[in-house]
Amino acid sequence: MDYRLKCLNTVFPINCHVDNPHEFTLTIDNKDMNIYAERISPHEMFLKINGKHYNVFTRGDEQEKEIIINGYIYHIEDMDLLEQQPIKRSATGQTPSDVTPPMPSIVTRILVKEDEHVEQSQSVIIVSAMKMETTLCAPYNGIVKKIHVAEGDKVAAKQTLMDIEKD
Amino acid sequence: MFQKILIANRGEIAVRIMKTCREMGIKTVAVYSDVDTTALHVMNADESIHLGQAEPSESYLSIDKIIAAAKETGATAIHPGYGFLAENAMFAQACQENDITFIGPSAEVIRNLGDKITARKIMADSGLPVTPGTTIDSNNHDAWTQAAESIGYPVLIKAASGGGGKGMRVVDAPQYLKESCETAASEAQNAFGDNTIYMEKFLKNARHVEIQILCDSQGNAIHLMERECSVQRRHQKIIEETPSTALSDDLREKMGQAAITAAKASGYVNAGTVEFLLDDTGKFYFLEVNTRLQVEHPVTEMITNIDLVRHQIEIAAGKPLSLAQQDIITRGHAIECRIYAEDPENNFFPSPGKIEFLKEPTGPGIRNDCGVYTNFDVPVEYDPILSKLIVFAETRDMAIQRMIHALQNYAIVGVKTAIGFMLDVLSSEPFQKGQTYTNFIDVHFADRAPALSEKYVACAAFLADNLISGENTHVSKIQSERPSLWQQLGNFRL
Repeated sequence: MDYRLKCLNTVFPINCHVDNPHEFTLTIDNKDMNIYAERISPHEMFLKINGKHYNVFTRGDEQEKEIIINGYIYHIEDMDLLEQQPIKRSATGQTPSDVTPPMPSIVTRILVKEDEHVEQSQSVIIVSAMKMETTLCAPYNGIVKKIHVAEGDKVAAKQTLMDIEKD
Repeated sequence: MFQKILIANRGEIAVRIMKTCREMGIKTVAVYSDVDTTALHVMNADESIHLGQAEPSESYLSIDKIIAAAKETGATAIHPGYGFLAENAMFAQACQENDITFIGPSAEVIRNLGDKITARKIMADSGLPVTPGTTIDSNNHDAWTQAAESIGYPVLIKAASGGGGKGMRVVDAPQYLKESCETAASEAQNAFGDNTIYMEKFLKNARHVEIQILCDSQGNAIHLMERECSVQRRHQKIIEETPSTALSDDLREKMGQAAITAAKASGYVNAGTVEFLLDDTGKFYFLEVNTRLQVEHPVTEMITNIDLVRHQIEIAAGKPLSLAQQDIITRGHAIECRIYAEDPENNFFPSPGKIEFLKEPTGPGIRNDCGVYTNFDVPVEYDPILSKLIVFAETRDMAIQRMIHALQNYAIVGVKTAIGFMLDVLSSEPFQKGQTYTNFIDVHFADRAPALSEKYVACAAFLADNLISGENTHVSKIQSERPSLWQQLGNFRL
């Protein structure tokens, strides 16, 4: 089987020959890898790759995983599966177009009112997570149409906190 | 000695304090908020009292509720840990008024030293050098502008009470002053219940070196050497070590004596830390006294072989120090890495969430003071520290290698941590050469890309994970629910 796996902005074409789920061979960048794998627990695997031992930790589904090897986290995506999704799940490299917190947080202060005109990079809302305050800015010049939250609200990462109509 | 101690804290520090209590045969009482019902510190205690909602003001910062909890359970002493009420003079006062022993210095000492302005005055009066700069006890914006201009940019704005980098901002230019002051004041208000802030000159090439002190109520004071805590991000320490590579025996002795002078000048009792900034010419300046147990206290415990929490409890019980200065003999080298739920690729923003899997490193010379476990939900309301990983070895080089291997074998799945980042720091030449200044991360790691050298292995692990999952019912179920997807794939992959 052929795969295209993306790791840190590089897509690796991979040829995979499966003998059984625990023993398979891969070719990546003309490099052959003989792999023996056992699952230790739901998030833990033991691998022998060309005889060398690795203890790795995994989290995710068949399309997208975090793999932890020697303390480093590798984010891996299966490009073939992802490209079949109606909505592209991978959202890396986008410029912010929304007023949205980077993590689950609590709204501390709202600095603007509805119908107010704001300028790009103007501070509009302050959120706090784990005692650390973060100021969110207007992504462009425009009019604040609707504020969806109140001070003290708990909000999720990537939740849109206010609508700003672009000038 | 106390029969029962209430620990007015949560997470790894509450767990660590309970361990010493247990060794001393003292019963422990945990307190907790709505989101901490099954937190590790609750499960490790002998009994527990529910305080209220998750918001710190309704739980871990509620003096009335905590005093009531101590009375209800018959705890005769309270250990505040660090953070929350640890440096709150009103809390120490409330303990005293209710005949509960506060394990720490008196309310008056906390008040004097907690107010950085008063603290600087006490130290300057007793002949200690203080950080260059001006202090203003005011929230007047014009006064800020004038002060910043007379000190000269960049200036550092801090909360007058508290520590841990909360409310702290470096301001490079006048146009950022107002917003930084306001945000700093608001953070200080939320974290410490006091919005007073003050300003000093920001020193660029300096080390953060602090001295651990122990003082009993009979007037004896000793120091337990230094900790070097220069590796910081967002003005909060992440890697600490002892001994410092910057201290000669002479300088160590001088700074130790200065710390004891500071302790005596302020009437200090219990464990405390005198923080200094050390410049590259060997001059040091008094920064502040932390009137509590420090997060990084374990490195001192490792090289001195002394349990600081045990001494805190004994001092609070009125016992004289069982150690004299000449009894403090250090050996080896210790390093601590603070493991927070945070994202080093996103300016170290907190990364709360559920810990899906946790595997702690073990081995000779490895200690992990941990406050979480597999399936624990890291709450968004509190400081995101998960654990402190400490190693001890014969030499600094050996300790670095030991820490690297411990970090490599520390698996935390589900939340982001800076483990990879700290591996890069420990493996770097500037760190290994001991060139650790407070701007270390900005200078050497501002544009860091993680050293991901095992991409092929990661791809292999990805496929192995899918293949092995395909063996059991989990994925067969997905297949039967979504046959069309796999039909499409069939054509694609054959």
